[in-house]
Amino acid sequence: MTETVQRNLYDFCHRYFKHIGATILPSAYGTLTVELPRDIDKELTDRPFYWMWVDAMNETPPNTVLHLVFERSEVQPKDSGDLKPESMTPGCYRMQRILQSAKTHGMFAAAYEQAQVLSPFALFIAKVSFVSDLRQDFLESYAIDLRNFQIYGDVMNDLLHRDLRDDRPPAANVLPIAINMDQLFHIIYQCIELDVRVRDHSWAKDARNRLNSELNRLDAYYDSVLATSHLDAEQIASYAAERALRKAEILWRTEPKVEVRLTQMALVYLAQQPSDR
Amino acid sequence: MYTYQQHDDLRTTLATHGDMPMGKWSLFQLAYEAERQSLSQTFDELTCLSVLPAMVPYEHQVQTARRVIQELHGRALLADEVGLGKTIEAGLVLKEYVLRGLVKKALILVPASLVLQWTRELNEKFAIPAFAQRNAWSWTTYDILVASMDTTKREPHRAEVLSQEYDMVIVDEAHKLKNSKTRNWQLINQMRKKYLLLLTATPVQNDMKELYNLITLLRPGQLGNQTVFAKNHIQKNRQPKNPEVLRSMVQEVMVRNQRRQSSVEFTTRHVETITIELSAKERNLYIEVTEFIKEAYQKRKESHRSILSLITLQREICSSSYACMCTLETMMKDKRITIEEQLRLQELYHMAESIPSYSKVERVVDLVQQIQDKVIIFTEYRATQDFLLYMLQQSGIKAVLFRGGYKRGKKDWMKDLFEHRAQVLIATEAGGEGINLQFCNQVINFDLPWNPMRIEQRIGRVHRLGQTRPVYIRNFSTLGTIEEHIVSLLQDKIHMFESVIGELDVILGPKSFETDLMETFMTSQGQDEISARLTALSLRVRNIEMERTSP
Repeated sequence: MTETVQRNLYDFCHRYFKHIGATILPSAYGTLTVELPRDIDKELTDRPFYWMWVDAMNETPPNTVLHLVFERSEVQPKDSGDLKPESMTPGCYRMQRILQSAKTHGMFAAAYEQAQVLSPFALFIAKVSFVSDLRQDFLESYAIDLRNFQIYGDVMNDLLHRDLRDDRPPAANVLPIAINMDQLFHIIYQCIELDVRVRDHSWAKDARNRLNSELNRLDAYYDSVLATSHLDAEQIASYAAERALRKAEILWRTEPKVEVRLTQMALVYLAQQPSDR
Repeated sequence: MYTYQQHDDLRTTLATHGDMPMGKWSLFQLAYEAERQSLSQTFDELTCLSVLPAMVPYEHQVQTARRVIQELHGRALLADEVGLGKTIEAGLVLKEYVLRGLVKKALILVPASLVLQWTRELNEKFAIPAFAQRNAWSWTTYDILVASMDTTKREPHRAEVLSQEYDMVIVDEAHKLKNSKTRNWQLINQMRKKYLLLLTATPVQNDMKELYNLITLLRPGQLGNQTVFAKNHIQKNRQPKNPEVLRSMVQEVMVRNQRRQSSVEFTTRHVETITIELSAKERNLYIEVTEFIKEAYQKRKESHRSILSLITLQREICSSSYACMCTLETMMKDKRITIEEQLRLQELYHMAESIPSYSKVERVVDLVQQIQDKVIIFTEYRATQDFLLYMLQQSGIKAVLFRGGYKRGKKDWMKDLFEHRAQVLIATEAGGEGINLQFCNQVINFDLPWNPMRIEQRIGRVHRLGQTRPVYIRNFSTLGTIEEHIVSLLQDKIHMFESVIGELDVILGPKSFETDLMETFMTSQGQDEISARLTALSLRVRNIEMERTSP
């Protein structure tokens, strides 16, 4: 595991704990010691029965403190209190919980650029997946101008570089606009479907070919098995069941599908329309 | 061309939040990054490699995982030779599918003794949240479950498993599925599963049909129907026909890495024959028993009766006279034998009984005392095993037993005892399967199985990835007996112990080695003929091997 990977991991976790409202305690280089608020603790640790007990008994246990270690070479002082150091790697259990928690808490947002005149946009993040027996995902971002419903694609790169804040600038002039959510979702879904349609779908063609050849082989096999004369009724029924099952499995596994899932939405008030850089 | 699915959960969630998006922009950005990190970016790369917590897989393991996913589309027979890490390969494939969101529910079926080990490895090496099956509720409680094959095929578990859909099923030691009439095979056949991995180092043990049955589970029709397969690919003596065609068809569902091809550096193996001279009494018994077997063999061949018990007896008498006493006793109870035979057997039994000490066993005790390190002694027979334990204990050497019949907890416990408390582990063949004993580097083959694949399994317990010291293998060979021929055949002629053959199996077509050997021993006139016939046998093996290694 390279140093940059661990560094990025550290940065991500540091920002996560900061913004989620955890208390970051002083800690050595390459490590992170954090005190978790109760609700975040519930998300990051898997102990439902403990929380059931705590809630039922009206207990107020001290907050959990995590001691996360990102740098492997880091020599642990033996007497770091009662804290058990926990090695953090991409994909480890704790990291998965942190990612999941971040996804849940960051699903929706409202943000403002710092300027005098701001126009409202609906920002959508969508995960588009090409699925057969393999899978390829794309994360797409769209912004819909709420004044005229013009759609801008691939806007996240631009927006991440702008100074967006949670609070509305006091002197800003924000256009009031009535928002019809159903209509917005309808537009975004339509737009994504059109975008998907024009993409390269050779993967689907390959998968379809594979699917057909698998099905042909299966048919040839069972036809030839069933053609043998000495089968009794029970055997025929069992072969037929087996055939149906195998066929269902092949379809389940190989049939090409496009899955679209909106993952996030935000209302952003921008000084200028977004550009796809 | 494709079906289009739209998931509406964001809209639903928003509605519960009051239909207006609110929240912090900083968290929105974090969520976006989190989402981006968990993408399957391309169809081609293995995404799991960058997120494995505590392990760097070997190149051949990565290649295998990639091939299973991209070329075999997730239904494959992983048939690496022993010790190359099939578990790791299966773990990589599973992890990759889990990361790509293609597998959520998975079932891993393994021998009872390996349930905990698999669970631990998946959690520690792959950070896959796998659980060991404990009771009837486990099936629905956990998404990724490790269970014992023997438990799973029994009710009520069987019905529970069959009522569910599994994104992925992994079967370890899949040679237990070689017979399509067994409950094991039928269970797997009836399960509803998307991806299927079968793991075995020995896809073919005796018969080409075993391979056919395994492949039918993965991809029915890959080798045609049974009649077609038998016609095109099996010759009379169970040799494969058209091996080239067969091999290319098999490769569409099978990956087999071999030690000599893989880049993995194994430590060296030292092989030594320990010759043993029988005492006069033992020698006498051996000659008498062999004589009896020879006669009975001819008679039974003529009347087409099973010769299995004779083979067993012949092999047991090579192991220890103690071992053959049990079989003699069983044979005496057989109602079909004549009075004459009965008397003869009784006589043999008394001869065996009256032997005061066994040269082979004495030698083993000596040897273990000399080695002064952990030793594994392999024997085929439980009677021999018990006797060895007794004799070792008499000499003040701590030893533990290991058998196939042990329950999962007991196996782990025995392995633990061996690692920390005892000097010697005495294992029967079945017990040797699937346990890893890299901390030991001394193997004594008290007797040899008449099946090369099983020998490889034995050595593979010790000489595998993770072994850091050279491995010493000692084969016992009793002068003037069939054992001498067997050891010389496997060790000197086929070089079974130095380079791994491991290939007498797939495609080459295993003929039943055992029956072949028996035939040779029984019908040869004198030692010279035996030698000559075995040399011929080994030449045939060597030739086939040469053909296969040349491009």
